[in-house]
Amino acid sequence: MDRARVATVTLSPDAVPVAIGPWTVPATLPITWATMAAVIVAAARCRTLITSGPDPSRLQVAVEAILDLIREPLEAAAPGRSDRILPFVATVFTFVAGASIVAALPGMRAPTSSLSTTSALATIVFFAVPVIGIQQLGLRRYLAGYLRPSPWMVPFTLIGEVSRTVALSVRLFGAMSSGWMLAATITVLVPLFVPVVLEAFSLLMGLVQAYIFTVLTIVYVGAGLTGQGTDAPS
Amino acid sequence: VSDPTWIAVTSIVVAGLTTAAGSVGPAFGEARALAQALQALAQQPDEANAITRTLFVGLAMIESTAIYCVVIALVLLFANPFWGATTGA
Repeated sequence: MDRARVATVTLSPDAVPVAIGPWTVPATLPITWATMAAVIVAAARCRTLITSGPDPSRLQVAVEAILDLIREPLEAAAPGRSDRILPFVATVFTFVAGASIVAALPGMRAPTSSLSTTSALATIVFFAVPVIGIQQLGLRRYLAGYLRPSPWMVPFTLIGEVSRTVALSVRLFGAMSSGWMLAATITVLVPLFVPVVLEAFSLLMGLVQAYIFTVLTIVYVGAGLTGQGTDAPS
Repeated sequence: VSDPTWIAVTSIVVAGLTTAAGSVGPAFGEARALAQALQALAQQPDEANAITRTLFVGLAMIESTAIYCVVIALVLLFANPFWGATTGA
């Protein structure tokens, strides 16, 4: 029996087929939809509660505290432009954090424990950097940023942009997927109580990773805006 | 060497070594970073927010190397590209 349970430990939800009507799809697909639905419902619920009156609800205070957590580094990275960029960055954070929270539910896995999902997110960030840069600075000033230290550095800057995108996706995938596999392995060894503690720990790690992903997105977008090239950490 | 046993043995041993090496290095790095951050917090408690935020991002950067090692170990164990080539599985 244990052998069978060990055999169900898979690298990512991509490897778990799920039948939806006549189609068989990877489990990543339904859990991503479930996460998106949960995030959208939560966002809509928060939206109806927002008031500018003197007596905000607890939920509103909590949401505003989270938003400030993102706004603060964004304002530091892109002074004066944070209001235009905040929606994108906050959406990224909401989805990745939502994925971590959804993963704490029994029987669920984080959609971000699939390399496909994290690659998609990293690709969005990859394209968002030039889009936001051109939107905010204009094409000429944005492209001029590439020549900033020296035109000879352009190939390295381009390589850096690709490699940091790969690093962004692999980091999130590795963190989320290894957390789940650790929990699955411990569940086989010690099925009582211990997995609960571990689950709580991986919830914390998942939220930290969501914050890291968001802060790195902010750093990359900010680096694209200042025209300093990509001297940002990868 | 086309014997699947050897590929299995090599993969498992290397996966263990990768995890070991990948945890020792970042552990030292994170310990140093944390010690420095605690010192900075003790000297400048007012800067707690900035120090903590930078510490978190820095720790994530250091931890990335550990995560890359874990990913390589996972690939060796669960998605080994050399396994299917010899067993046809």
